[in-house]
Amino acid sequence: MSEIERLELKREVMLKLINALLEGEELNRIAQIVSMDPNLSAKLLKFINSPYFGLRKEIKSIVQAIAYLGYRNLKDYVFVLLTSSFLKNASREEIKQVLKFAYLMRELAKKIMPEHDDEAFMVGILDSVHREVGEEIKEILEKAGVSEYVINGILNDSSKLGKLKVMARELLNLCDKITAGEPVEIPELLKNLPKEDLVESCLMAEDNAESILATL
Amino acid sequence: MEKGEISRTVLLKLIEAILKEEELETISRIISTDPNLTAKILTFVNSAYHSLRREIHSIEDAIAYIGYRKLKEIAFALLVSATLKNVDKEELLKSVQLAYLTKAIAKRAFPKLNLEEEAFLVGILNHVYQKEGEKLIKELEKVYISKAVIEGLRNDSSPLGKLKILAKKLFPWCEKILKGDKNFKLPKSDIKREIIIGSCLEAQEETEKLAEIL
Repeated sequence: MSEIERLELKREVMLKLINALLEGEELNRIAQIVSMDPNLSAKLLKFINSPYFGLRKEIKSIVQAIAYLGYRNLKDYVFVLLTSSFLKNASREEIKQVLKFAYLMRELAKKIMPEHDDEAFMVGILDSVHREVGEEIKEILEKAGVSEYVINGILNDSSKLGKLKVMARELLNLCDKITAGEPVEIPELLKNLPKEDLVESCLMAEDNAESILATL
Repeated sequence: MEKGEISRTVLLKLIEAILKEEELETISRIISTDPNLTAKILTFVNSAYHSLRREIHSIEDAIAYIGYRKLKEIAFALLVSATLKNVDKEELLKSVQLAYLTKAIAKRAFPKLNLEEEAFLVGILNHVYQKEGEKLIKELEKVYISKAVIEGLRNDSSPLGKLKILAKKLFPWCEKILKGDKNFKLPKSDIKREIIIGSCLEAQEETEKLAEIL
């Protein structure tokens, strides 16, 4: 593991950054938040200059790194860093499952509640953290200014995002069979969605989880 | 130039700057020289698809929001639109959909080849190449486009050329899938049915996002 990979990140800064990205804050403000944690800045520059992006020239500034990536990709990347920081002892496969679940949440949200797809992704990621650290998560998220809508989604299965989480769990269990084209009994909760949408959600979740994990 | 039209020269300059990975400031400056282009990018970023909580007014913020890769796709789609002036919107959207289908197949069926970005370019430029031939290639060579993309346009047996042909072959089946036709039979192919269905759906979704600004 390289020096940069070993660096400890400040969770509060990552949560603040995710919120700012969700709010669509100005680029300078986003760059300012990233710069609050020199380790996060170093990781971001290493990530953008990795062979994954195959850039022709090295990016040295945080503003340029953010502009190249775009807010959504940056958000996904920070989510992965955040997840890894909470689930320190998890294996790569376990982290992949967490990411796949979160992307599945996003894909289902796109079809059912498109205005909340980012929040759905956030609930998907933080659900595993909730299981790891318990109720303490509420305080951490409130302190970082995470919306009540997301916090409710994590803590309460009857909230709108909570219900989506239950659907995503059901679908995650079926994804392998669905994508392999094997016959499956679609649970009642998912019956309102066309089969093609379920297949697409599973494929997108697998693709995205794989590609973001490859960058770590 | 007609009202609302975007300058082809500015688009080519923008494409060159993106491909050369120029600084954000340079890219923003190029976009700002064409008010119609500026308006399109701001419309795209503030469209319902992005469900932003606040409106983005600055072009630098808009670029940062979507990132260079998406901006590149937009620039090429607008270039095709500016070139194929007599083609109706439906036809234009089919070109965009073919580009996204080529990209989705590259990403899903051949992930290790890392061809998705160039696959999109071959897909989107295919229609213009058929119309303009080597004139287009000369323009593309000036803007730093990769040899693989040029080869993909010229030669159907090149890796990107083969992908383009595959996407063209699958395109009519995508239309059936998207219309909800449950009785369609896919052509013989080594690619899994689920990958094809996923690619068709992804291509449609990405095309819909661009439809408003074309």
